[in-house]
Amino acid sequence: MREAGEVDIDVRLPERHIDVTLTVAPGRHVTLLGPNGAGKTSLLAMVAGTLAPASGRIRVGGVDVTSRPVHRRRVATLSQDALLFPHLTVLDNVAFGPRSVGLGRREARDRARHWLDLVDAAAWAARRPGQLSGGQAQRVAIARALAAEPDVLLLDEPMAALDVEAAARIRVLLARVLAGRTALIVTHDLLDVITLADRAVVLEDGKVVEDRPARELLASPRSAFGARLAKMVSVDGEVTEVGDGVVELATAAGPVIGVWHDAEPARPGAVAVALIDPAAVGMHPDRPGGSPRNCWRVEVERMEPHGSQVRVVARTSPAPGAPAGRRGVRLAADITPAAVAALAVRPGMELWFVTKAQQVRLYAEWRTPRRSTAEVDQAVAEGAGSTT
Amino acid sequence: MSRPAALRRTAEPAYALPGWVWAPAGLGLLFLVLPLAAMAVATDWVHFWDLITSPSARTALLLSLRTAAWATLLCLLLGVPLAVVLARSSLPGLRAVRTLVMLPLVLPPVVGGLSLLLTYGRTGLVGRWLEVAGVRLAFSTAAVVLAQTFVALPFLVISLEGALRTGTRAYERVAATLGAGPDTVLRRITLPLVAPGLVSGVVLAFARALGEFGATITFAGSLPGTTRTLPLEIYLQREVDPDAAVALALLLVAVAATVVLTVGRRGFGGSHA
Repeated sequence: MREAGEVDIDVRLPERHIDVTLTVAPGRHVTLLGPNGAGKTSLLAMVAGTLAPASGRIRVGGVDVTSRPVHRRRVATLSQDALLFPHLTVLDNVAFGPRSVGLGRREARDRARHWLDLVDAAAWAARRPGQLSGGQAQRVAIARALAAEPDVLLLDEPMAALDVEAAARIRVLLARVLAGRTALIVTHDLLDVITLADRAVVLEDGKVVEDRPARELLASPRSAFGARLAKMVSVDGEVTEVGDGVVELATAAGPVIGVWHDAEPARPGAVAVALIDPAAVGMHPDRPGGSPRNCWRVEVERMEPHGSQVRVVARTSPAPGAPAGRRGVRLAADITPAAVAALAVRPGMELWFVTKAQQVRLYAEWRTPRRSTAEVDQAVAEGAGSTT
Repeated sequence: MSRPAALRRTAEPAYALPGWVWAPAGLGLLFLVLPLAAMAVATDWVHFWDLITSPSARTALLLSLRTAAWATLLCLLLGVPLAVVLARSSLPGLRAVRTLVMLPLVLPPVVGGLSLLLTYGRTGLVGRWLEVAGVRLAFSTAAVVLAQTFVALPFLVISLEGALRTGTRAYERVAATLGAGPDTVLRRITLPLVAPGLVSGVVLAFARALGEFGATITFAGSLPGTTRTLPLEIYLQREVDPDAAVALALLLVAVAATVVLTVGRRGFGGSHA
């Protein structure tokens, strides 16, 4: 097998607001996360060579490929659509890469059979792409990409068009074949981050806003997108009071009290993020008595299924004294279906959300770069060591 | 008609087929078919075989098939690269170029023939240099081929360019990421994917070349055996022997229809199964 290549990205493209510096060590898998339009796919296109950066450079395996044409970059792409060549058999689709670099027909087909075997698709070698299901086609597309022996694999939501079961099987296959290969993975799916990535990079508006070991991102996301991905709610604010064990933030949802979890000590006036797990949020029709530390009056926006619970998404009323037009903060609570039915919860309804201070985790605001790429990779490696 | 086909037809309700379209559609069909029927009615069927196998008719038919085949080949050699450039390159002024390419479609063929004469004739723009080199194109069989190519080329280019614009780009991109250079992509991906469009373009070009009259008679004249193709023969026979003209016309229709139906069916079908 070829050695995995290092990818070194340092590009700017002002018309898409892209300004990214990112290094992926050989054999590492980095997920690119972020809202639609954040520039994830554009970034992949620049690595693949189908989109030129306005300035900067891209290096693969230590070689500057910025001005190289697509076919001489050794960067293969897997996208949502398998895009198998409809006029070629499955075998010849996979043999296409080896043929293109000058192998004879027989040798290329032998190699194609090897890769089809590896992805458990050898049985379909003689079929046409039109005779395959979406999952089967994606399996063949993976074999085809690997057969081209790329230095780097780019994955642009390759499971997004598949049903849950087929996606799960492809995810297992990818986890297997990506081992030892350098990959950049664009995804919206939490499961992809968990099973495929060792590092997670969150892009917002063309800039890197988080770059951390994937496990760490899911445990304590700082960006709004990271929190959403981890199925949590984040509220940012300013530290107003550092008390005994608890810290208070002033936020758009009013005061939020929680436990400081960051390595850096809390300082009054510092910008911080409160991370709230919706599973720990309770719901009441009236202002509850007793002494819950965090209590918000909210208006229900919508409800969605969340495992065996119902996630009630609601917005706080604007904090007193907030600028006109400023909307409240979106919070969420995971409630049993029975409780939702008992309270007859519906959009527009006014309720109270409560949670204990012990359930709210506070972190200092994420600033990049807090760690260098090498440090993130070091953390990734240590994390991997500790869990195996 | 086979049963499954009939079933398929009834299985799909005509959501977008208002009742009133049937009348003008039928009228349009009638308008196209009636002249063919009139020709069949007017044909002297008793002497039909003799009329279409007369030496002059045979000579004209063979010349027509030969020149149309050469013209189609020329159209392929020049038209495929032209269509690829029009569909894929991003040169400035490409719209103007496309208009120029399509011009012979709207030009009366006589004007085309005249312009060819002014270009390749003995005193023409290029012809005077050819004359120096000892090559005389006008009023030769080669002139017939050039005249037919001139009017047929846009058909091939239009048809192929249309096919190139319908979603083969994603496949080309994938092929490039797999290491295929532009030449491999064109040969192994682009052209096979547009094969149906290419086939229909070739058929259209051949049919147009076979029926070419105005440019041929202007640029190549009407020398029996050299430049007198079947359409010219029909036109001339109309004065001398109207029965022969009608029989030859029917022959031309039959030849054209055979080509379109046998070669063209796959291409016009649209899908590449």
